[in-house]
Amino acid sequence: MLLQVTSGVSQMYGIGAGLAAGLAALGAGVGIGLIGGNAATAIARQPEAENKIRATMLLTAVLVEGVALFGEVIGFLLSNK
Amino acid sequence: MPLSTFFRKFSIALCVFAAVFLKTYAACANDLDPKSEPFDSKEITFHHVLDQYEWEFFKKPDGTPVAIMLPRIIYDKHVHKLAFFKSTEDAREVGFSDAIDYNPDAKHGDLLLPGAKPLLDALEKELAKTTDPKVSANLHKRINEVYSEYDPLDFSITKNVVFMFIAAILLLVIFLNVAKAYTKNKGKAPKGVQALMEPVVVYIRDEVGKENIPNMYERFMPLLLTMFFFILFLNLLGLVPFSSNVSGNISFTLTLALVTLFVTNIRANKAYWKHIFWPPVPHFMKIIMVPLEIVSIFTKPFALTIRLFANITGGHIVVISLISLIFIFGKMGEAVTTGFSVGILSTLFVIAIGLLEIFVALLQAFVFTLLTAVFIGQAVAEEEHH
Repeated sequence: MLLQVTSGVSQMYGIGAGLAAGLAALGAGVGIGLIGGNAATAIARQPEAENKIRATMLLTAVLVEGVALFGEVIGFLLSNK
Repeated sequence: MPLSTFFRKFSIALCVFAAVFLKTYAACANDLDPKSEPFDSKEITFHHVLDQYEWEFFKKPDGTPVAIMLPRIIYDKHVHKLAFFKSTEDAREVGFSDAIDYNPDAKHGDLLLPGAKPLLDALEKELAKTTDPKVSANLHKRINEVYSEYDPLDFSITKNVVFMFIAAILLLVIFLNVAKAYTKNKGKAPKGVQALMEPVVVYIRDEVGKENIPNMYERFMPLLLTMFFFILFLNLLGLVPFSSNVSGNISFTLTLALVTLFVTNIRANKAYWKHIFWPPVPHFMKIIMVPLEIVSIFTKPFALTIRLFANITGGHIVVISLISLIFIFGKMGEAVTTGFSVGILSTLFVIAIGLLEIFVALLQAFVFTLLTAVFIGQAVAEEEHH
């Protein structure tokens, strides 16, 4: 049953892939924007803590980016179905 | 600005541009097919991104590839012996058959053990004759059985392996020289390559090692530095024309992540395990927390794997897609100028992406090392008493 359904809408995989990658990128974009913006604010407030803030920013941004990449990989796998 | 500084900067810029242009050129030369077949960008993308059994430079106009054949090392499980061949062709001559004929998912150059071909051919012939779905299902099952029986363990030196060797040799040459320079220039300021590497090493030590593993960073510096430079060299080598996409290979990144997993968990102290199996939360929360913590042991290296793989492969795919655009447009209409004008635009984009990729190569090597240090730091941190 499920097989029939999926084979009937095989054309939709592309759309699904695009949505998966796009939405993941959207979320991560907002997230990384917030991280960068807040880091800039933090550095403006406390320039002497710049190194520590930069390290934290990078680490958090990388973790957010990981989520976006999961979306991208799922999209990539779907698009190759 | 003194003239020598200017020239140095200029030559560096020139090298960067030459590398990007050559990469474009190499990809173009590979895929420039004079016959007007429809352009298959997907196949070309995969051809560039995936590992191969030969080191291909480009295809001649008649379609024959100009390539260095790499040796094949195959474990024959029927006679329990390792078989060595100079090239894939040599292996075919002694009876190894191509897996791709029977399995569309197989890679070009995957081989089956001798004796597979007559068996599989006979089954395929029977399959072509039959119309009964039950019989054909049975035959499919039989084909899969024979296929897996004759599927060898392949230890071949692929293109990726060659590039790992190149990176390893480069690392050895550079760092042995740097190490020697420290005994030669003892007490003096660093010179040459030594001066290039010292700030990087010191940066990794201070910002990655000391920052995240404050109590015992010396112990992990060899691992962190090796990881950083190995990934960095392979990332940068991947940007060189005719080279291999090693750090964009999921088995490579997985292996590195497994190193992190093992180091983290073997070196972990009591406080780390206590945090996983008996976290300091109310008892009913433990039901949720403990499984989550256990899963997180494995998601960390998984995320490491995917991050490096997706970033590097993504960059390669973007470059190849941009170059593919030239040929897609070039074959769309009668006018040759379409491809030509798109070509100029694409090349500009490729340069921009290429420069970004150099940054990504550095960043991803750094991030992998940083996260490894963070995970190790969590595992070996001394228990804090509140």
